[in-house]
Amino acid sequence: MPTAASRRSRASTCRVPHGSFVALLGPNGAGKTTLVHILCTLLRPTGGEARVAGHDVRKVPRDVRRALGLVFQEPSLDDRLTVFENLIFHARLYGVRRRDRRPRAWAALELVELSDWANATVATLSRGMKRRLEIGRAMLHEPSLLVLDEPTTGLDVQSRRRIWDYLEKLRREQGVTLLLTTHQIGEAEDADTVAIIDHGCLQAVDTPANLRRRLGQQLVSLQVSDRALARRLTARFGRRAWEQGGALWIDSERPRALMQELLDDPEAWGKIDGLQLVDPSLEEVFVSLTGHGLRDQTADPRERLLGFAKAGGEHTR
Amino acid sequence: MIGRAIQAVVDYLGAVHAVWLREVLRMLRDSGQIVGAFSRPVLWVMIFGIGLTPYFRTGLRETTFMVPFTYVQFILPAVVVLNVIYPAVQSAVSLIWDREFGFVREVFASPTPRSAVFLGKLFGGATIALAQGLLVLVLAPAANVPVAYSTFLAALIPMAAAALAFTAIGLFLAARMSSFQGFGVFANTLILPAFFLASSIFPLDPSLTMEQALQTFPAWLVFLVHANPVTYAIDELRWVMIEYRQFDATTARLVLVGFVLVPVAAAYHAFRR
Amino acid sequence: MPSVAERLVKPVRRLGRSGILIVCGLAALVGVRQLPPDASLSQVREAEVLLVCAPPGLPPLLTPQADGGFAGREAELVRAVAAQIGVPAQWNTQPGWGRGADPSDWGVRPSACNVAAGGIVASERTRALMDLVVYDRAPWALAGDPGAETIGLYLPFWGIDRGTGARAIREMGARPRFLFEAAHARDALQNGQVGAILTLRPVARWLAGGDRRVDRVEALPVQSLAIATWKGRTTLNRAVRRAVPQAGSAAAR
Repeated sequence: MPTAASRRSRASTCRVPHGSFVALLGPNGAGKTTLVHILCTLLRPTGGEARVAGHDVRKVPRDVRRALGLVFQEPSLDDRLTVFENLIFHARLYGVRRRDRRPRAWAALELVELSDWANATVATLSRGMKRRLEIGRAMLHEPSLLVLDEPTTGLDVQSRRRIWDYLEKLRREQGVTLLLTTHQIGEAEDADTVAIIDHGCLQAVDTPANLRRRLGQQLVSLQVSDRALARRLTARFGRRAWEQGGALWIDSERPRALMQELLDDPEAWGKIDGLQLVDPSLEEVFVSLTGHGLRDQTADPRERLLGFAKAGGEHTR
Repeated sequence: MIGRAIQAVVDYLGAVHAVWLREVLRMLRDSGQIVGAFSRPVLWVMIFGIGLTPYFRTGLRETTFMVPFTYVQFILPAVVVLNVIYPAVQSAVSLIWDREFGFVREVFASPTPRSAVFLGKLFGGATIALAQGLLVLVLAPAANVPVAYSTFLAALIPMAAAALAFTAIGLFLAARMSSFQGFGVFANTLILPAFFLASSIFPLDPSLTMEQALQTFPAWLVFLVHANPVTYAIDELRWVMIEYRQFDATTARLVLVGFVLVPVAAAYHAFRR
Repeated sequence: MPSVAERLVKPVRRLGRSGILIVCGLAALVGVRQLPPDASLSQVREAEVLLVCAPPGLPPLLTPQADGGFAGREAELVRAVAAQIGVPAQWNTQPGWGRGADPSDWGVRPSACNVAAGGIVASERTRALMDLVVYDRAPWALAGDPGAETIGLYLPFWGIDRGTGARAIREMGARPRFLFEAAHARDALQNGQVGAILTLRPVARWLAGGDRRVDRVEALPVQSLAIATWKGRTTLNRAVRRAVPQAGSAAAR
């Protein structure tokens, strides 16, 4: 059975084949989390149809839930319980047999490298560790599909790298299907399939390479040490040339011709240290499809409450 | 077929047990609540009760109340109920935090039926409440209330009723509230009025009939005390502990049954949404 | 092989800070409940005398002696209480005790004594006033001829229902006659003014003397005899409890 999940948003259809890695890319408020909630049957779809491992989310939500491993955008651990207790609680909730609970909990801890923290209270864990624990927890009941809602948001670089390592390992060793939402384009680059979502609609579903190809153009990247030359090029291409990361980028309609022209230009000789053609990143694809960049996040009421609680809050938690 | 049915029941009970255990463990990690559980009985029995006992000392023609108990004996069952109400509401209200901090998603997105989660929460809160109520009985010898095994077992019934009722009320409020104002709000608007208006720490003169009581106390106060279901929980417990009751036994027991069933039903309804 | 101490410590340690808090809390509760809830016992110790309210006489429980003291079972119990506290007992005889049907007319005041003894029967009325320490169970008994036409009712007890006795006599087909004095009652039985006397068993035996029969009256409920302290004087009451062997835990209240 090749299909682990398929879902439909508005008129578009997306199939997530078994064992693949699908990134759901969209800005905040695009409907990513809504889609995740529909998949995990917390919300009922208003229209269309969604199936997880062949189970309809409307008709057999219980089977859907059992087949899913979930990592939510915000932490959903009990921070007063220990790491191990959280895992055992999850195992009980998902009806994992008694004799399997402890071995699986230890295996999950090993996977996410938290074995030494088994008896620590979750409240004492860093954000990255909590997220790792959640990934380990989601695997306890051996789901065929792991859904992660923005798993690396707000984490430092090391934590992110670790999480990617775990996910890669899970996919390689256990053949788990990954469905991941993100608003960071870099995270979608390694996916088998990228689905771009905005305003609750799927805008495009394809491999990252195909999406880039769809945009068609390539960019010219120059390393220019001579300021005068840089100014001349910027003046010539106007808004289609910009500086970023120490390089000058030019979005030309005919990039290869531009490259040849620069190579042939005697005035530029010795002033260009590097010159290359670059495929457009998904960011450009994204902008071209949605007409805007990724929106900024604003603090919502829940975050304000979190701030209140962290500042001491009322005496009950 | 039967095997699958049994498996379903076992899974269901397993889930109830998981949620129950989590509630209990959570309470055990909350040092603030533990300190409260121990300090409340000391405050009410040892300080308040013993301090006021001389004012209720009886003697021939020297007292208004001819009652077969001392003041501290009178309030001991009420303090038991108080120590049940506090943790019951407190544990139920933690549902708001679970919701705001996302833990509820872990539970609601699991294959566990909502009713199992509800029962786990209800029984968890009630267990914690019952345990804290029992702590007060440690002070029973200080109040000169002998607690035999039979008394102890009989006392569990009204205590469990109060525990279930208030956990359910807490769950109902927590399920319906959209924002969190802190536990102090619950303490001041729910727990303390329910406790004070329950013939708990001031006796509505026990030897008086309803008509006489209305002459001694303002009518609104008498009415509120009679309308408060906690009154009957305390009355029932008082009967068990010091063999004294102010209200009719059948009425008290019927009120208690209703006091458990109505909030539990309401909370379950609110919880399912 | 883990030691006992280790086994006890392990679950507490697993709970961490809360485990320590719970253990400390329980210890605090048990410790705090040892605090005396009132000053009644220390007042007796300071005064170095245990004042005992008693009726003028209630043989054989309290038989007056020439020196103003008493002999008899309750007198022994009172002396045991005094010895337990470590002070002498001093009798404070209440002349009004037992005169008339209403104890509020007897003039017995909580300020007059620490302990009350003298045929106090556990009942709602006495419990409302006093903390009772029940030392014996006493069934109703009939001293003399059960078929007598006139049966005396002698009830020198605090808290007993006279109506019950009078009704019982009528149900036996006899005429009740109320008797109030111990000596008078005994004389009435000796000289045949009454054929029998209905009372509680210890007193019935004394009235019967040895030459008359004593029959237990099964139809009436068994009563509990008690030594009492005034309500709310808990520490003193506990001293009494320690000195007096109690009869039946159900009756101890």
